[in-house]
Amino acid sequence: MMWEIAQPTLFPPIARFFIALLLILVIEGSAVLFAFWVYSKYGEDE
Amino acid sequence: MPIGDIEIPGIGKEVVIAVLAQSHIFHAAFIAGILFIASISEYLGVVTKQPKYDRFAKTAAIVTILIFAVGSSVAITFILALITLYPVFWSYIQNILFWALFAEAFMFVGEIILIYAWYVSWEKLAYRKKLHVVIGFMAAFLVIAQVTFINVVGSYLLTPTLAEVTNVGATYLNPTFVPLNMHRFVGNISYAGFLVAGWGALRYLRSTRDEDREYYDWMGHWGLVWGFGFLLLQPFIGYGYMKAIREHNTAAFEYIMMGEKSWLFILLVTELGIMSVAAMAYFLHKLKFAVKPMPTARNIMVGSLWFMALFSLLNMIPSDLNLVPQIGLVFGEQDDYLPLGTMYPWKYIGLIGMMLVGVLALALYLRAAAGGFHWGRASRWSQYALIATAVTVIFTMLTMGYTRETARRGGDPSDGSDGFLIQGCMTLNQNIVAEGCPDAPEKTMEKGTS
Repeated sequence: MMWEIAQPTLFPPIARFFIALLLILVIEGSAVLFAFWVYSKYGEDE
Repeated sequence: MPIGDIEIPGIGKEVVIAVLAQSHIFHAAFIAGILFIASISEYLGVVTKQPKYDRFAKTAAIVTILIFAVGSSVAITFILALITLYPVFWSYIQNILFWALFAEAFMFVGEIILIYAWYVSWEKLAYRKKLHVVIGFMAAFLVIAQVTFINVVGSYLLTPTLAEVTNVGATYLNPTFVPLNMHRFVGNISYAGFLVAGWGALRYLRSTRDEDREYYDWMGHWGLVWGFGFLLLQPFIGYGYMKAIREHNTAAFEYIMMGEKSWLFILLVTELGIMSVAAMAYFLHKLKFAVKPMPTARNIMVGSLWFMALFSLLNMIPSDLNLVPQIGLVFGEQDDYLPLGTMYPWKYIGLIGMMLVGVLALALYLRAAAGGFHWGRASRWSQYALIATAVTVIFTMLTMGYTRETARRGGDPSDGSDGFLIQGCMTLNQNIVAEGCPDAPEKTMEKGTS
């Protein structure tokens, strides 16, 4: 049932490919920025 | 509601799985590689008594802890999404590969204990350094073991074993498990090495103190030696992996190497070319600062740089002008071969050439490094080359992950779906299509085929 509702809403495969790339960049980017932020605050303690 | 019939509007469930899996791998592969490099560095610090090795290893431990937490949470989200969106597939795979996934869970606990223990005991075990080094190595090997066990799952989906699924040994040692494992073991180290080089370069460019400039200049070199050194093994191991895929899953092989997705290979060799040429340029620049001048080595390195560029360009020539049909980049007929474009012999010549030139250049560079470099005097452009390798290696990981998973679209499932979840057995719509599957996807001699 869900499939019938959702299928017409799907973007074309190419668009989905690039959306996937963008989402990966957002997740990774935020993770890396978070790591940098923590690192710059607490990292170099020697 | 039938089980497994949930769909995500707009992007579809494949995108959700792809995004989570790939995001997880960016973290996990880095941890697998960096723990290996860092624990060896810490040990080298003990052996050589040079403080830079210990400083590097300790920084790597801090970064590992920061990355580890995020990477694990993405992994758990990924499993949650897999159970929700592909419940039929997940219950089959959990049953078939129970022991591999069970071991995963236990190794995960072990990693949490050891990685954190390794970091927090750095000062406390400063006078029992060898014990501390052992903890680091144990953490590294546990992560490598975990990669090994998840490779069982990854390779099984592409090339399910020919024996029945209750045969744990045969499931574990499915046809592409060993080559995939070698490929990823080496790839993780190379990936982490290039990222270390890129990070070292960024820090070098921002450092003002002489001590820091020397350290980060060295760190860029250290990362690149690991990254490029292990990269050189990849074409050879990748060949073995592709050969195993070709023998055991011809449809997938043809899809990614000759069919609609053959542009992935061109993309990959382009990325390989960028990393190799950038590494060569860096080596060439660095030879200027060798403590013992090496004019002959420099001349050879100039030649190597040109040969590397030449072999990379040779690899990048597509076999026909049917480039990327998915986005309409089609300028000619498929199988209307371009000169120098075919795999045999040109791409073999290109890849073997890159490896030989790379080994020669790395050997020369390491010889110069053994004599010592004047650190802290590298130019900005040499650091940009390192950053270029780090950026490119991220895209290479993306390309390779996408390739392995999209390969299973190569089959032609009888239920009309777009590919297989378990090759030849379960389709993307979670239907079992083969007879006797997943008990044994193909009839086997052991079972006395009739």
